[in-house]
Amino acid sequence: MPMARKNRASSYWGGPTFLILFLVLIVSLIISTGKGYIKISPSTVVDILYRGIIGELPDKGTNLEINYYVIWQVRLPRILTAMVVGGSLSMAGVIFQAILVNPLADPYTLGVSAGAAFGASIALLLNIPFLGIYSVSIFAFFGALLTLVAVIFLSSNSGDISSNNLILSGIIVSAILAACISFIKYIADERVSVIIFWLMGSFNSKTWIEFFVVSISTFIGFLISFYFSRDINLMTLGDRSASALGIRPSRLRIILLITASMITAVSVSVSGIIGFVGLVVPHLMRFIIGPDNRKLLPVSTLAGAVILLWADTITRAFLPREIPIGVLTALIGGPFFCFIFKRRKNIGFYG
Amino acid sequence: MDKVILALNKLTFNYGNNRVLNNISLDFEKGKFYGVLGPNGCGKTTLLDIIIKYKVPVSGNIKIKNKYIKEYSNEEIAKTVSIVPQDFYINFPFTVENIIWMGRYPYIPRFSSPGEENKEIVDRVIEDLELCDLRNKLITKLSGGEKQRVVFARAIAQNTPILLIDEGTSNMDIRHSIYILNYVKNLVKNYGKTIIAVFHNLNLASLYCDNLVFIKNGHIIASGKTEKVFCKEIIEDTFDVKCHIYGESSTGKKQMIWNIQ
Ligand SMILES: Nc1ncnc2c1ncn2[C@@H]1O[C@H](COP(=O)(O)OP(=O)(O)O)[C@@H](O)[C@H]1O
Ligand SMILES: [Mg+2]
Repeated sequence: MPMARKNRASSYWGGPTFLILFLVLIVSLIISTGKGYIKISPSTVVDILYRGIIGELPDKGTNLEINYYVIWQVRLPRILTAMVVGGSLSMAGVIFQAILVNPLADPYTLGVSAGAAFGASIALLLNIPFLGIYSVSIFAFFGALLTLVAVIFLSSNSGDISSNNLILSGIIVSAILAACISFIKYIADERVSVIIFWLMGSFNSKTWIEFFVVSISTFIGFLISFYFSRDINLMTLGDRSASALGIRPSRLRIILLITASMITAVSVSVSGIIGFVGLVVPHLMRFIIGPDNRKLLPVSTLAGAVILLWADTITRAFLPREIPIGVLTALIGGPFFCFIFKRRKNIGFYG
Repeated sequence: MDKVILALNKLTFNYGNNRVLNNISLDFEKGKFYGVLGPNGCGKTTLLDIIIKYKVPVSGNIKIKNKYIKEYSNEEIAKTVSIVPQDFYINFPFTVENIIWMGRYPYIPRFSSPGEENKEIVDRVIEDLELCDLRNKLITKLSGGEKQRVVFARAIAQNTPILLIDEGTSNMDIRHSIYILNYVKNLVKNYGKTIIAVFHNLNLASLYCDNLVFIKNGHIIASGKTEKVFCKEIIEDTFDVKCHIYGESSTGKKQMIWNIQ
């Protein structure tokens, strides 16, 4: 039994599991950077990464120069963005499950994804030019933000916010937005394929700018939620007990709700809707290191990064034809989730 | 006067337009075991919620140790009042030991290691409440009564001068109920703790409580020493069911049976 370790309360951030995942992440990054149309050996990848970091450009006209360009201009931004988005979705999943006290919640439960999809669909439908290539992302972000405001408004009851109200409001708002998106697709004619393609998610042609934007939001989100990670544990006991243990449940729920929704909104704006990562990874990690959020948050963030990095590498470099990443994660994540859910349910891991 | 550890002054509370507590004033003394009795929905849980600062009354105020609870920080409240809640559903697979540790969180600064003295307290509570066998089990795998014992242990680990118990033995078998009530009674006698417990079993309340408070529709029907207020008229008035009080038992405590026509 993984849970039976003694004095678990005394170690934070996940100890050995964290270190192992960190190593796996670094190795994965190096291997995956070498994969693709042009194959590059891991040692060359390390050499090129090193050169890039110390700022030493390879000689002009050499093979190394081409590889240098491929890695630093094309592959790294994409791979790193996939990594950070994976981490942020998993982290948001942990937060949503904990504050909604519901192991079936995920970053999209409150309709953030539907809001982003709606915003993006409008931008794609109207083909809005004035914000350049980022107009879709910006519309998606504000769509998500407005949805969040609507959901919080719907579910608040004289200052108190209960998790059930939040989940219900999220479902209602998502359903309305889904209808709106269907309508947009219906009137979009030939642009409908662009919308559908965006909605299924992709890391194709991501740039350093997108990487920095998601990294900053993920980093800030991590600091906030890790700071509150012990308080989040108390939410498990219910609002009343948490209250008697020195927590203000409604306030904490709002702070974390906004934090997790913001990082989700940024991720979705950058990469489209990538499902199942935020649901499956927290479950898998809880299975391995237990439900203590002080460990679960860092460990899930790393695991999510590893998993989405590989999912993206599979579609980018191994499949004969690139399939949308959101489809791939659902195809792998869905059955996998069924498997762990069934297995763990049998031995009582879920209530 | 300074025996009073908790003073409720003219508390009124509404849910929307529904008045749940009406002008409640009560004093609780240090080192006594109080029982709160009343039918479903009369406002017992709401009253406890206000004492732990989970809910805020529309009017009236509360003093703990002569200081308004408004002036207590969240951490101070956590070190002063603990609660065994009525509902104890836990959704995530924490171990029993994890849950009991949560009672010590208020005493351990964020991100610091728990220290020997906290470990000792947790170990002692686990031993005292006969939870050694369950210690490493997942809370999600326990029966209702077992869960309730763990939640009880968590509140005791918090080691506060005031302990609130909301139907805290409702799912336990009689041996465990008595064991745990003896245990907390002992905390009152030997450590001067103050206990305020909501009971549904009036006979247990009579056996354990020094004082009783009867509530109906958000009003106090009666309050006072158990031997004085544990009587036919007050109980029938509170619950609207006929009853019969019998005997001074060997303990000198009165007991009751419902009288169903
Ligand atoms: N969250 C709530 N919203 C509205 N009304 C509530 C809520 N909780 C309790 N009530 C009402 O307040 C009254 C008192 O409830 P409570 O204090 O839980 O009673 P009890 O004495 O059974 O513990 C009941 O009539 C109940 O219907
Ligand atoms: Mg109640």
